Amino acid sequence: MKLLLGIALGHLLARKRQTLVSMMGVAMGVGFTIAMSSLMEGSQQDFISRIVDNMPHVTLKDEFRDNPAQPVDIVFPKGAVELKGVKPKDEIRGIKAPWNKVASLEALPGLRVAPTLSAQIFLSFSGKDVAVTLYGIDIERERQASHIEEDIVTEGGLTLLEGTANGIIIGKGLATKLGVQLHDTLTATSAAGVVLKMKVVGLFHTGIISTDNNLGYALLKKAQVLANRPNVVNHVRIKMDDPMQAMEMAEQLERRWGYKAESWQETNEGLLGAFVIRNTVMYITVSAILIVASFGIFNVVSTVVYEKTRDIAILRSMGFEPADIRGIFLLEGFLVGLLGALLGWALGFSLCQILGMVRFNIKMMTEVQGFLLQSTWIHYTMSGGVAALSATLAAWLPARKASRLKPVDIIRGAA
Amino acid sequence: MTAPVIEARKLKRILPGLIPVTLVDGVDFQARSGEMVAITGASGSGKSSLLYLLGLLDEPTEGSVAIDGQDCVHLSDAERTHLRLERLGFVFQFHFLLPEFSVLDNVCMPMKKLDALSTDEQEDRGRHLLKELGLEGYEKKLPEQLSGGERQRVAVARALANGPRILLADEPTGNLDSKNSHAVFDIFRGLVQDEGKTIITVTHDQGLAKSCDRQVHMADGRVM
Ligand SMILES: Nc1ncnc2c1ncn2[C@@H]1O[C@H](COP(=O)(O)OP(=O)(O)O)[C@@H](O)[C@H]1O
Ligand SMILES: [Mg+2]
Repeated sequence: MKLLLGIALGHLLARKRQTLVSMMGVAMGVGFTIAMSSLMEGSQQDFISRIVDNMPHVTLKDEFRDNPAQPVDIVFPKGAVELKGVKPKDEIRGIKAPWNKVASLEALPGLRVAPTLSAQIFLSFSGKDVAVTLYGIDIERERQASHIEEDIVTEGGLTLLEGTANGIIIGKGLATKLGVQLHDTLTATSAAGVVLKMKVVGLFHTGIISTDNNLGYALLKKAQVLANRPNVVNHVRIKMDDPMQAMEMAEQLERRWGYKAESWQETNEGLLGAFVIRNTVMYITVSAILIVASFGIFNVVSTVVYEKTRDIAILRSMGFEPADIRGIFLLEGFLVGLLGALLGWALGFSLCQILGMVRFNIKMMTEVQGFLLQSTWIHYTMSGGVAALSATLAAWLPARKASRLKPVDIIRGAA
Repeated sequence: MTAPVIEARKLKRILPGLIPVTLVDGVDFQARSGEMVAITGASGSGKSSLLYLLGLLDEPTEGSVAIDGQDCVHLSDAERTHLRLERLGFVFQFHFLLPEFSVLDNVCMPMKKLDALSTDEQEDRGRHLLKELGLEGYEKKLPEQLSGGERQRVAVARALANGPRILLADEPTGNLDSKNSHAVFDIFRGLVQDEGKTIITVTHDQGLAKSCDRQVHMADGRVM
């Protein structure tokens, strides 16, 4: 092996420029792979952690996955007679016996539970109307189960909701839209037609624009009054110590109570699916770069084999086996791939450093001021491994050709 | 008389094809230890082809080759390759030195492949061989820094690296002037007399051929 390595190195060092060019090809492939995948990973991780931090992990809703069965279907299941135009039984909206459910959820370890009435309202201020989702909350539980307390940028936190007659805490984006400031009083109107004067007692900033621009918090009681739905809770938001168990938990809750329980993965299914597509596109792009790099390696090794037929012949006649010859040229491909990968690691690392320093000022979804980068050892080992492997594969054909050369044919011709 | 070190019987080599070409046509040949045999003949008479068959580089269409009494025709490719490594040394008209490697590395190449000696022992032996061939001080040089005669002597040193019993040379002095040619043949003579090696060499040079123990003349693939 050492001997073959020596010969392979000798061949490569004898044509430094060509070797360097093919190595650069591999390095580019690996370097850009690392930079691109750490960009992707960075924004993806950031996105997921924002979702996991800011959203409930499971939301129990006063909805059902299937439309409720009507009395006629219950009495005559799969009946031969189909009735049309049956007036469906009016369901009373809201989760039944919510506090029992909250209590039994709170008995489970690792769960924090926030019962909520979520209502659609209009907020008006100096002639502007904005449609807003109002969360009626239980302060103590909300503190446990959500992030909102930390996101309140004004003094006083959630407690101020209790100290004021009709307090409301809204997102900064929403405040800007309405043109209101802290301590201003605005008018809240619900779909049920109830109108309340509410005083802004706090502003929050989560960084998620849809939340900052569209959400308000009030006490559960006030929200129930406003929505004219006394004692109703329609969402139970659950935070878990281990967010990865959310899907399983949602499934169990749904089976137990029949209400629709949505995990954060399900809520963001579209986005998570988009990540998969985005990653696939990236890997295809990256493979294309590496395939191009492989052509370079194929080229070098083929050239060496062509130029080295005499050396191959003498090595074979002095007692080297075909496998030795093949080994020499495979090693050449592997070495170019390996050194190229190492160079590529350096390139990828520097690219990440440079990208990490870039700052810009665009208002994106998550208001980031620079690239979010997250390199993992997986990016490095994977890109390096794929490069070394494809380099060796690229050398395979010329190496096989070299090992099949018959020494007599060459010596006869050369003599 | 000692038993032949190498022996060929009814050796025939036909290149298959639309018009088959007969390279070697029923040759009987043998050579003993301490014997230097010259193969002569016109160009195209089959001298090289015979040498390749004797050196196990090519396979005969018919007939047999035995080395040290061992029949080699039925050996596998790998076994014949190993025999070449251990017992046979080749010198061709062209030196076939590897241009990227130093003189010493070139000489040590077969020893490294055989891997019977330690690296230090290999280098010592390489230096010793070079010294014997008058190439002391050339160890670190590259082949391109040497003259034609010097390169050919390095090729001889390399052929002797693993201490083969038989040295096969195909017009080893074909590219050399008369002074260098005689130097190479003097080396051959010494190897035969002092170490009892068997040397089979193809040559066009009548004088050099006469200096051998025996001449085998070929025409049309046959021994005359
Ligand atoms: N691959 C080949 N195809 C066709 N003819 C060949 C081939 N190799 C050798 N020959 C012919 O075989 C004959 C013997 O060749 P060779 O053994 O090289 O002779 P010598 O070494 O005596 O000059 C020559 O006539 C040569 O032209
Ligand atoms: Mg010839």
